[in-house]
Amino acid sequence: MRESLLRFLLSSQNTDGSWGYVQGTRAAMEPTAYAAIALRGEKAGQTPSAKALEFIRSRQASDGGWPVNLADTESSAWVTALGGMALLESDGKTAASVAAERFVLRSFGKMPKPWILRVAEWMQSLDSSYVDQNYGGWSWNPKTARWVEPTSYALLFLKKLNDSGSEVLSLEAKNSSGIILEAESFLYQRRCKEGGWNYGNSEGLGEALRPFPLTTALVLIALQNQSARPEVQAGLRYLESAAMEEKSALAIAIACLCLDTYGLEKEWLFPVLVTLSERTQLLRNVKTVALAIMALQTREGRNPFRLGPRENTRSEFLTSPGLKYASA
Amino acid sequence: MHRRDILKTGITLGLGTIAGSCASAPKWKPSAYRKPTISRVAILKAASYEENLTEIIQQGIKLCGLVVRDKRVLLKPNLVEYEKDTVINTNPAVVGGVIEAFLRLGAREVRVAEGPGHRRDTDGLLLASGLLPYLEDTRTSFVDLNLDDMRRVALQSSFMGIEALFFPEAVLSADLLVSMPKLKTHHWAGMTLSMKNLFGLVPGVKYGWPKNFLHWHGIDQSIVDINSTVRAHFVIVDGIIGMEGNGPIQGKPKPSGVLVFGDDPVAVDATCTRIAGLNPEKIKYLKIAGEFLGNLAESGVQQIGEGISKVESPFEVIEAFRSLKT
Repeated sequence: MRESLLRFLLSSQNTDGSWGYVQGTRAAMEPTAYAAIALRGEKAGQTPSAKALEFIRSRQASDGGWPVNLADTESSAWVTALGGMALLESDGKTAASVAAERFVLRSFGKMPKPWILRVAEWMQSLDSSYVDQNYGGWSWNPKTARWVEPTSYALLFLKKLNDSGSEVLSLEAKNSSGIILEAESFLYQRRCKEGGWNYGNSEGLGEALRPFPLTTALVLIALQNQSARPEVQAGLRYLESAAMEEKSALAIAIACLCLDTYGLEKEWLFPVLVTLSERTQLLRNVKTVALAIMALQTREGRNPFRLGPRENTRSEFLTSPGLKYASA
Repeated sequence: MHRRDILKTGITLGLGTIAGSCASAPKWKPSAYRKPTISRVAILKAASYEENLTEIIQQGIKLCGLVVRDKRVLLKPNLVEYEKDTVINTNPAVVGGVIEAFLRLGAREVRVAEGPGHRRDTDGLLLASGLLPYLEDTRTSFVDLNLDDMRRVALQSSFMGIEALFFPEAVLSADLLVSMPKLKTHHWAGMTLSMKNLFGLVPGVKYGWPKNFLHWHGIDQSIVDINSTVRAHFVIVDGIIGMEGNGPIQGKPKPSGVLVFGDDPVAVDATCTRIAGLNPEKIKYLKIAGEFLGNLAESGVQQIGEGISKVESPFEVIEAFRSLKT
């Protein structure tokens, strides 16, 4: 299966080194970043990956960011986090990844509100017992609400940068710890009742909304250094349980990478990944294939999403559905 | 009168004229006006998804006089997200029936496309919703509009207060764009039908999941600007089982037993709203769209097939939309 996925990825690369989301489409930053990362872990992928990284470097805007694709000119924080991660993975901390970091940090912010609500909040803040619940995060699009997925990408990128061991820290990076803390609070605040996360709303008109495995896995990857938190443990329980019913190869691939970052059993997900990848060939896209390859590479100990050394973080109260699934 | 006073009066008059002309200027370009003299809307009964839907759909398309031969058709069902035992999405049996009907009527190509509003794992959504087998059986390709190549297009009306939006190439290059919504209530817009369904055209890769950018610019305003810029050439509404109450995700199933067809999205959406026992004149985006995009008033709609009174099935609405019932 891995060979067939690899063949697909190699044959889908555009001549400029980029990938579109779907074979035959124009360059987009997200699939290019994932493909570049995935191929670095494959012997046959070294040259294509280098070409992709060159494409990423050449397209970085003067503000340090990247737009979602070549049709767009506005840099986007979530895409910049992914582009920055691809460069960080390959080159370590360089001027390019620091410029990306600056852009991501500048894009951080609170939910925009009308001036009258901002005045009301300012007046409330004069009370010493006031706790600001309007946590900052990242949005998909500038000047709109903050959401779980872009916040997870940005958070992971910042943590990876801080984790890169470089002594050379930009002024912004030195100030990033407050932003990281606030973004983590944002993610905890957006948790669904069932324990996981969806796109970022835990309820609608007073009714609880369901979490999704894909977004839960992304959030947990971003929160991997907080494995002892009960919210994280509950999220892992939800993910392990929901992954058994999951129908998306993309979600399973990210769930696999997520469980691996926590040092949890993930072998039971591989048969599901193979089945779903074959079942949904009609919809095969570059991002899904790249992430599926990255998921399979975890068997060799490679996981670009992981911070620091791997450790087993399973709590005693976590059940082991994966093992049950594998033995069934 | 001093020169200064003359200048002051002149400036005041000038500004007044500009303000006056701004206030009265239509918010749409003349080229966006497409309200026909009369719009045909066909209502056909379909008691369940087990019926021969292809036959019914073919009949509906023919009744509306749509020319299909040699056209490249893009079907846009409503596929927001999936939850077991709910009726959020256009039923896959209806999508399958529509694919078959268009192929039988001589379409050169039929593709299905959607940009789901809440989820990025479209592969899982298609499998879980049951749509994938219909695509495989008919060898129909699917375009994820959230990820397709995109192009910036100048808006033909200016209710959102922006100049342009990105749209997917698959949409811009289709000969026939068919909007295929579910008949549902919507907790912010009142009803979600063929016009609101076009939110799914806007690429998530640019505008996010959810497409919050549109909400920030006003849902009603966004619906009108999108529909004035990209035209759904035909509409097929899945009203076999609709959704009432807290739609579009958490509402309750509401069997209505109809499929509704037409080439004027405003007229079709107005008709569906009447079938649901609600007043389309009170739905903000329909009211605006009725000025230039299509026929809102019953007098502008030629009803064919079943009459509204024969299929009317009052929908429950949330408190905020109680006034739609009068």
